[in-house]
Amino acid sequence: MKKAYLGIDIGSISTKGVVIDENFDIVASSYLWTEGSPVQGARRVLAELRDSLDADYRVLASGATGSARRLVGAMIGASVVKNEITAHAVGTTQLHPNVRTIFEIGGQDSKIILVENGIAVDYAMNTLCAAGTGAFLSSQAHRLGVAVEDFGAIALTSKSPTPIAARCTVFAESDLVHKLQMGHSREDIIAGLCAAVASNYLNNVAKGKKIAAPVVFQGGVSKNAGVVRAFEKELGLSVTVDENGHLMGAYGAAILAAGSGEEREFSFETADMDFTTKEINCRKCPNSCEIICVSRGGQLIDAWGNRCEKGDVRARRA
Amino acid sequence: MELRLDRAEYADVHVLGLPRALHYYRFGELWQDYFTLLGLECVVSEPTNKHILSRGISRSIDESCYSAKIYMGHVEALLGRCDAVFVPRIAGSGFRKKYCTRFESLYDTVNNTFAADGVRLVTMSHDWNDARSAGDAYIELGTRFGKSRAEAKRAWSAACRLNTQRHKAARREQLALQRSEGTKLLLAAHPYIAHDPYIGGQIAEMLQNLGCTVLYVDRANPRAALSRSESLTVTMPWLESREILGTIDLMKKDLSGVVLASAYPCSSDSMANEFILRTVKDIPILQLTLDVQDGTAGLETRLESFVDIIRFRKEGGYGAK
Repeated sequence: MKKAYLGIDIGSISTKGVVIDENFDIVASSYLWTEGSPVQGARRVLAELRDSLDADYRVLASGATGSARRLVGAMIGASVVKNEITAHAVGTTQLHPNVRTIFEIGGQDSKIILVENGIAVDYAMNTLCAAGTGAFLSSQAHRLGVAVEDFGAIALTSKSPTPIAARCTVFAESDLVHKLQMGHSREDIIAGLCAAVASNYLNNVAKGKKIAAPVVFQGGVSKNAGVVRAFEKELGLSVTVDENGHLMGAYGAAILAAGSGEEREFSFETADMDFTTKEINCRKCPNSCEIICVSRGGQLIDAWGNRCEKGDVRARRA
Repeated sequence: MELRLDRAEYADVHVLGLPRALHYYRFGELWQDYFTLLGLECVVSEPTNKHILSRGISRSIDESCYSAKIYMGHVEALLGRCDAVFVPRIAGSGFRKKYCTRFESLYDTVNNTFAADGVRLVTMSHDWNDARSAGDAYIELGTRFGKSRAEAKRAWSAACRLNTQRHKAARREQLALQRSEGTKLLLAAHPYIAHDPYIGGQIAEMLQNLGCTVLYVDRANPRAALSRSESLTVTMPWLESREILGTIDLMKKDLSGVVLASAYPCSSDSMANEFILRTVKDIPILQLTLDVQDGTAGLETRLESFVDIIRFRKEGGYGAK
């Protein structure tokens, strides 16, 4: 029997899962669309992991991260439930011990993490809007009739990228239409969009942060070679994209689970149990909190969403 | 500005409503003591809850700030529960000690918003450039409730004494926390953000659940903070921004980090926070913008990772091998 640890990262767009061995090497991984249902997404990822995992391995601890970490953490009985910034920092510094700056651009979130001596020392996240994230590129690809996956390759063929205002998606969109009508070529416009994403990121999320090399770039947008090149051009530094970059959150969660010291056999079957969430509206005070009750096999396992103890569902049952 | 007033126009007000929002978190206890000593009964609206917030939103224009929207909800909550609602116009106490312009317009905004509800307002005005002191303005207000000048003055002095005692006790208590061990974070925000249980209270609770000690600007030393701020900026016009800036700079050696929280959209904070981030360099600062949104997941992620990073820095490791 070989020891293994599971990490799962449930984002708004995609759900990622990895199983690592005692040496923190990835022995199984899965990457799927969340499709609006974190519970189903996690189930499908767990099923994939179970099928691809060598029968010798016994998973002894699990960690959950990403925006649905609490829900899925409750579902699988995770020993560690951690925010995605910490998980990304832990995962990335394990694979790239010298990294100083981590860029992350996902579907709706973008963040920067600064690392010193292998430890995350500072970070920033986009605050209010999703301009310049994956969702923005997808909508523009749709407008241009190009698959977003092809953006990178097309952008690299451009000789003179068209400048596009990317501060706000509304302006970018009207600017883009205008430039198309003016007769700019499609590859120049796509390269311009990629450059706009990079400069938007550097001027907003990374504003005032000291960017030191080595830089590692992660998240769905890192698969776009046009954005990678735009970053390199603007920073004058080389930017590393890890082929497992999209798994770093799940990988970090698995490492944190391994370090939690809690070991008990994890069964992939937990995910197949009858797992339901119910929303109840607490009427005990004018806050009318929406409380999420999570049950497994008909048994209440967790509840959250209440602002005060009046809405504490567990306390009431006890 | 000179208000033309009938003397003793408020003599028939016996029960006075105090909206628990904005300046209440700065002067509320002082007001309650003063009005009680004048022989009035005070009714304070309950702490902000979802119902008050949603009523406030529907009573406000979109562009109004979160805290001003909440204020309208509190005014509405007092309708029918008092003879009049106290809505003062307190604009500041000096050239570089101003409050946001919303405080200048507060009386007019409330008066217009609730014109159809027949609500009676008790008000007073004190401007940043008034020749008379704020105390004189309060004493004059006392006489409008039919009290003699001497009676009002006595009540005002007594209320001020109580207020000073309370502040001293709060300062002592916080100083002990400030000197204690552990992860200590300053919740740097306007008092109406920091102490409103629906806004700052939520942040403080999350931080306490993460095992942190939460410290407040108004429980530190506002006077010392103000004079420290003078050495950092001569032009900043807002008193509360100066108190926040000065307190961060004075306390930073005792702090693990600062949570800089603002309501959206706060015009003074949009400038002041940028100034703070550029001026105070040697302490981790997390900037939060709070809006009329319900989900707390984003807030939790940001607070949790901020606290994680502070601890990693201190321990030099992730806790995991």
